Amino acid sequence: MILLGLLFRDLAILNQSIRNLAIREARAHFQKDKAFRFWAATHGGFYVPITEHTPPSPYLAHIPERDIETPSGKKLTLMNPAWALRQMNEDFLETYGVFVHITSLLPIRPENAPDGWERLALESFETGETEVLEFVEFEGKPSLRLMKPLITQEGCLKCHAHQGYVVGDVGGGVSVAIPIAAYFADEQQFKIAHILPFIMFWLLGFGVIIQGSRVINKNNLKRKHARRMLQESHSKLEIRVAERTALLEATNKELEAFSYSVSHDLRAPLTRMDGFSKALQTKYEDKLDKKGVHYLNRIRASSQLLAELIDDLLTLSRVSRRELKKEMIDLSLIAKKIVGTLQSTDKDRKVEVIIQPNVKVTGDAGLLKAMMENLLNNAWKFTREEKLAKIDFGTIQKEGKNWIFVKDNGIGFNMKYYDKLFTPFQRLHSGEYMGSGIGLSTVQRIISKHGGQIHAESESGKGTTFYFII
Amino acid sequence: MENKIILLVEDNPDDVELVLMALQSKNITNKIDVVTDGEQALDYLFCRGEYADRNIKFTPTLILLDLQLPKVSGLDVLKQLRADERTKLLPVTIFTSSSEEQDMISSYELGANSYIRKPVDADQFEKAIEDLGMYWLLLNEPPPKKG
Repeated sequence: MILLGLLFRDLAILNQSIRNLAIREARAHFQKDKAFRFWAATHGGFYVPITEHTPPSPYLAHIPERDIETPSGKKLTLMNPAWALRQMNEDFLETYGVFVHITSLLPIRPENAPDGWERLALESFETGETEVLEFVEFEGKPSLRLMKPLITQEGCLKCHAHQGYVVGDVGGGVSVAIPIAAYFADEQQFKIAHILPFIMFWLLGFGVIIQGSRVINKNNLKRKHARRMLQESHSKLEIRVAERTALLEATNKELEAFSYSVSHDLRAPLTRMDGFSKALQTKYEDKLDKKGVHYLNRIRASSQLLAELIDDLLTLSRVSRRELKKEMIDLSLIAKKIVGTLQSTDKDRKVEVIIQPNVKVTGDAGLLKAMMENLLNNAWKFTREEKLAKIDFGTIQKEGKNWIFVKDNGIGFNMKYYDKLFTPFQRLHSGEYMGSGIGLSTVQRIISKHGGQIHAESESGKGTTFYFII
Repeated sequence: MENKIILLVEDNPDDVELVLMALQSKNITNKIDVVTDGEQALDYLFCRGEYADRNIKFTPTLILLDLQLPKVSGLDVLKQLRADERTKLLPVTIFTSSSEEQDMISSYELGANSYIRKPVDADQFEKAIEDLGMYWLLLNEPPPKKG
């Protein structure tokens, strides 16, 4: 498209240059003739020998000394510029090759009358036009006709004053007609020479475009192919994910069934064990010696422990299974409730409990409650031997962060064994402080599930503090 | 208090024995009827089947209902009780080893009045039975008998 545009512009410019050349040629002719005429006029005309071809001009009859004779008897007559020009043009037209016509709206010689085109031009000169040119057919040939006015000069008045002209008037004009066939022949050649490279460029460009679009197409195809592959692998992935999810859900269901069975079926026999052991103790106490009673106590203690273990395991498994349901939780209120329960089931104990109010976090209500129960039960348990047992719950700024803490002044633990603190089944106490061993591991799992942190500080005999962030 | 009946719906004989022992040790001397599966429980309460001769006038004041029962589950028994005009208002206490939240929710949704988890510890077990007896047989006002 662009190339075509450029081509047309080029050709237009070419055409214009050709025209300009023709115009310049025409003007050149005119100017030369004009120069010649003025030259002749300054001389007042010039004398030439009288011949048949060149008789004295009747139009110059009013000029004195129109005809003169040389001392040797040669007869000469005056030739005016217009006549000279005309004669030269007519006699040597082939040599010259250009049609020149002197004409005027008031011609002295009738044959000098203007034709239609010249008349129009002459009239426009009267209104001030200084040049008229037109590419038009003349004598059957495509030509450039150009006409310019002749302004009356001093020297013109000798022969033309009687017509009423004064210096400065438009006396007439000279029209020139040059055939432009040759020019157009040249133009044709130029055109061809011009078009050829254009065509070549165009073909080249076309070729490049075609090639380019082929490459683009190939790329497009490649891209489409890649996209299809991606979609395929995407669907395959989705299928695999769906399968895995189904598998996980099935596994989860199994786990739920398992823990249901654990919670119900494992505990029931324990209840029976303890019940019958106690029945033995109470109904056969007179038949049992100290040892017998002791053995039964051990049986009962074991079933206690087993029940605790089962409950803790269940809680632990629930932590993992459960999806976090986040909401705003007031830990202070939960702490209060737990302490209340502890106190009511252990009426004899006197424990000073300080709970900072409005300790709020965002997290899962059930899990956080289980966590608090664990921490506070521990605090309650391990302060059993303290005369002035004290449990603290609140927040504290430590190392630039806001930690929540549960503090007790119980028997504490040796920091040497800190690594084992949160490990399941690794107990740091024996005897009457023995627990299931998985309470703290559950607490840690709950904290991790919330994306939080927990650590503990303790000193044997002084107490323990658990710090956490949810 | 004496003419108030306790219905124990429990399939395991050991658990039955423990409950009876506990009641006895706490001096709860009410009549105790025992059924060992869900179908029996319904027959008893609707006075049909093998209990066709039972007088429906004598509705139990305390029903201890286990959830794991053969033939008809505890929850189904509860559902059917609540669906029948004659038994709709009967106070039902679920007495089970299960601590699963879903069991608790379902029980309350189906209209259980109370949910007690059987303590493993024998002392606590006895206390629970005593508390249940004290509450339902003495403190609580049973629904008025119809007809």
